[in-house]
Amino acid sequence: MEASLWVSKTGLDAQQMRMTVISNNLANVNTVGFKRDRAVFEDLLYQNIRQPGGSTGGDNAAPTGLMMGTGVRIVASEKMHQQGSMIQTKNALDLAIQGEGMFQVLQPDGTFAYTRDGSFKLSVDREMVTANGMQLQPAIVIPQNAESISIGEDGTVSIQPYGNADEQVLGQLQLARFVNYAGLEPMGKNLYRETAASGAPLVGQPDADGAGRVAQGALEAANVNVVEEMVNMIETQRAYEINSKAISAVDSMLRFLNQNL
Amino acid sequence: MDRLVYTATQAMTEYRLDRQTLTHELANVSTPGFKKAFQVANRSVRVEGDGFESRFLPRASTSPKIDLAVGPLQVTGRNLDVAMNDETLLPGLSENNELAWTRRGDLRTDEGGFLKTGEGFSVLDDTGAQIQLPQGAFGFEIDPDGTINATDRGNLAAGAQPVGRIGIKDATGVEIGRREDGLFKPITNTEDGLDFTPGSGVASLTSGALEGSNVNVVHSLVKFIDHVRSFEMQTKVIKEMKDNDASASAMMRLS
Repeated sequence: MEASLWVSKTGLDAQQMRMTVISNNLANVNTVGFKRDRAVFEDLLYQNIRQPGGSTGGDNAAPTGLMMGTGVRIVASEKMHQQGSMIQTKNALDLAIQGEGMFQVLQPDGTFAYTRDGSFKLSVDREMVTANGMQLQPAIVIPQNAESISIGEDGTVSIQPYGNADEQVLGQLQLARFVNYAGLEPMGKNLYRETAASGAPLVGQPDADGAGRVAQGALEAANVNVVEEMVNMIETQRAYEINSKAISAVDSMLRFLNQNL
Repeated sequence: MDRLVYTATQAMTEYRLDRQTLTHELANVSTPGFKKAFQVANRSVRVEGDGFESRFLPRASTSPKIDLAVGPLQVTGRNLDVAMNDETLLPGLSENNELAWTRRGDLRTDEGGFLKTGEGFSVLDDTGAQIQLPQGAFGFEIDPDGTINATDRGNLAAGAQPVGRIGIKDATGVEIGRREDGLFKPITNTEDGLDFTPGSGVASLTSGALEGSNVNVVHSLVKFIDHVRSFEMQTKVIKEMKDNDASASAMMRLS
C-alpha cells in the first residue's frame, strides 16, 4: 500500500536483529574464548522508477532519472576474531593462545571442531578434553604418576613423574590456522566448524611460522568490549526509534487522509 | 468538480517518492559508508487544456547524484576496516563484473584470499585486478595510501612487506551517482560511466575505523515533519474542494 511504511519496517527489522547480536555479545561477556559478532548492514536494491532521458511528452525528455531506495537489511553477522585479554588462573591445564590459531578437538561424530577456549580437563582416561568432554587433538594422555604438568609456549607437554627428577615429554600440541577466520561457522559451545569460506585448516606447531604461542595457566577472556557494546546499544535503540517515528508519521498522514476525505 | 483537486492529488502522488527516499535514508542510519542522495525535487509541468493557464502539476525528479559528505568515524580497531577520507572512493567489482565504486570499508577475505567488501564485492587494485592476499601471510595492515602490508610466515625476518595496493581514487569535483545495487558510479566523465579521472584531492584511507552513514537524523526528521504537514495541506485542499462542491449542490437542490 505505502512503500515508505515497508522501507521503515526493514529498518526496524535490521535494528532488531542488531540488538540481538549486541545482547548475545553482552550475554557472553564472561565466556572463555568467545569472539564478538558484528552485524553487517547493507542497503537494499534500488528501483529505477524513471529512466533519465525518458520521454515526458512531446519532444521533451526527463533530464534526470528517479531512483528509489527500498530499505536496509542485515546481510551477515561477522565474528571479530581479535585477541581477547588474558586471565591468569594458575591452573596447569588452562591454556590460552596468544596470537593466531585454534585448538583442534574431536567431536563425537568423528569430525574436528576448533576452539579458542583452552580450559581443558582430564577425562576418566586421563586424556586432555574440553569442558564438554571433547578430546584435544592430537590426544595428550597424562599418566597417573605425573606430579606436575608443564606446557611450553611451543606447545610441548611434559610432566615431572613422581619421585623422578627427569622430565618426561608427552607430546606437542598443534594449532589450526585459517585464511579467513570470519568464515568459520560458530556452532555454539565455544566451537567453530570449518567451511568453504574459512578455507582448510593449516595445522602446525605453536610459536612457529607465525602461529600463536600457548600460555599455560591462563585463559583468553571474551573479546567483548562492554563500553563499545553499550554505545552500539544506544545507537541501535535510537535508530529503532527513528524508524518507528517514520512509521507513525506515515500512519498519521494516512489517518489524516482517511478522516478528511 | 474543480480541477484543482487533480493538482493536489498529483502533488500527493509525487510526495510518495519523496517519502520513500526519506524513509530509505532513515532505514540506513547504521549502514557503513551509506551516502544520502540529493533530495527529490518537484518541478512544475504545465498542462495544456481548456480554461485559464493555471494548471501546473508537480512532477518529482531526483538528482542521481549522491552527497559524498563524510560520515562519522567509528574506531573499531580491526585491521581490515578502513574509512575513506574526504572524497576518496574504493574500486570494486559489481556482480555483473563492472567497475563500480564504494565507500564501504569493512573489508574481509574470502576462501581464496580475495579481498571483499562487507557486501561481498571484490576490491580492485590500481590496474583493475582483484586483490588476492597471500595465503601464508599474517598481520595485515593497510597504509593511508591503500598499500596492504603483511608478513610472510616463511620469511619472518623480512618483516611486513607490501602485498598489494587498493586502487583508491579521489573523486573531488566528480559527480558520483548510485547504481541499482547500491554501489556508486561516476556520472559525468565518461560515456560508459565506469572509471573516472581522479580529482584534485589526495586519496587516502584511515585504517582501523569505519565510516558511518552520512544521514543526518535531525535533518531528515525535520524534513519528515515538513513533509507530513505539506501532505496534510494537500489533503486540506481536496477537502475544501469537496466542501465547495457539496455546498454548491446543496444550493441547487430543489426543496
